[in-house]
Amino acid sequence: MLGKLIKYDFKALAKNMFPIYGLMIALTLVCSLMIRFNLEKNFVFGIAMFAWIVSMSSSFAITIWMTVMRFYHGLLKNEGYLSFALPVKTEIHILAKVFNALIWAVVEVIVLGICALIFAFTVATLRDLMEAFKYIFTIDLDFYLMLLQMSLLGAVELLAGDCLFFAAFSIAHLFDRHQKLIAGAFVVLMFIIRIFLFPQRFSMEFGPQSQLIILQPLLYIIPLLLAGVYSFVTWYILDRRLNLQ
Amino acid sequence: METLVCEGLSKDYGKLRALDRVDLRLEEGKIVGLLGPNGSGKTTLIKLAARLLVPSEGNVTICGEVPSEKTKAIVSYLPDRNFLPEYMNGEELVAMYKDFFADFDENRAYEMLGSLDIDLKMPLRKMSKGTKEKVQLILTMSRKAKLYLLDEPIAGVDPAARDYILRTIISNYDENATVLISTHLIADVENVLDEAIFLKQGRVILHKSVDEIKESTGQSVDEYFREVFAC
Repeated sequence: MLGKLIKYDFKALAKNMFPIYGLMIALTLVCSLMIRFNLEKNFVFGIAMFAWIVSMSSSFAITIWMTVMRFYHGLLKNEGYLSFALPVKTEIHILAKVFNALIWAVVEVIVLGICALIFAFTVATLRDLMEAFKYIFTIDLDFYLMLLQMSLLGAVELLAGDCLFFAAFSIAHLFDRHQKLIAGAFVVLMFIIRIFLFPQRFSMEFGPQSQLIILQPLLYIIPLLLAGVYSFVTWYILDRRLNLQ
Repeated sequence: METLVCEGLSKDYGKLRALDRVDLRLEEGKIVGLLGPNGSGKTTLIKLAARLLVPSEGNVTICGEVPSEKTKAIVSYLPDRNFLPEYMNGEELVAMYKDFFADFDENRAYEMLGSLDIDLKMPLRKMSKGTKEKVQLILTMSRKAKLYLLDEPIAGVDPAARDYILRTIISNYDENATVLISTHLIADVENVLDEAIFLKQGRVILHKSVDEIKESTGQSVDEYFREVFAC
């Protein structure tokens, strides 16, 4: 059932997300072609570049917001009547939403990668690209290890963030009005509490031996722990206190 | 065999008691009307049986099981609102029901959708209110469930659509299944009912067969309902 739930959630989001990603790719192509043909002084370039910067900088926020809205509409609004009539346990519903959020984050990264490649292959000369390609092989292995660790850290933080939003909207659904406002207030409150309780900072070291270590395991443990707590809150409300209006 | 049993079933919303110590036993093969004015607890009772709510006191069982994902596999539930994803079309909805419900009869669904000339490629959001309700009912009744919970299936549709909906219910439910229909439009449904339950302020004040009501009161269920619930 988990796979089926993910499939339908993915399809539902694809209807909104693919046009957005398509627009991002199209804007990238337009901007990079205009740079390639020295049309930077054109008025259209200014508009296209502005739209491109806005779309690229807000794309992660849009992706996260859309996956959170899928949770909200799929489980807590009218579609919730269908979702909770399915022969599926509550925890499977939550798991499907979490997986879906992570899958769309990966899709987002892939789209950003495609945009970067389009930009590079359109703007740069063949010689520049060859140089860059050679340079990749000269970079120390530890740089890639750092990238891997940063990606893992990003993934666990994203997981905790999604679970926080899910818990926030579940709590907000217990109130009759201003649900999005209440959810937003809860997210901000939890964010502030977290800053005061767990003020960990990145600590990276480059050295001759280890080259790079992200030192604190707590950086991984805390978001995972928080994701667990938020998921339990979500499960409790959806399973024991659900009251669809 | 009893399909739905409620024992001392109560549900509170904060300080408000929506359902108050309800005792009910519904046997298989019956079409039962859950009748009462607005706010009498009809939807709450149905939601408890569908496991969309958890009781405050007492218990409810479906074929001997406490509501869970196991009972959801044998309960076909039609809520009192548009609950299907609006972006999906008829074909996608049929495929989704087939994916999730083992008892869903795809051929029956296509047959009924075809008889109404519903465009299977048209998204739900482009359909009229009445057509949406018919699609929802068709999907609900295309399951071979043990218990059908139909919450206000004929509210908000024209009389011709009501006739279609009631015909669909009668001709599609399994003889061993129980159909619980919640409504306050009694005149429209009483001809299809075997039993009637009157709910008032969260309490069951009457549970009898339609024939018994007619014999003992000399009135139709609708007339008797109007007498009982007169303001």
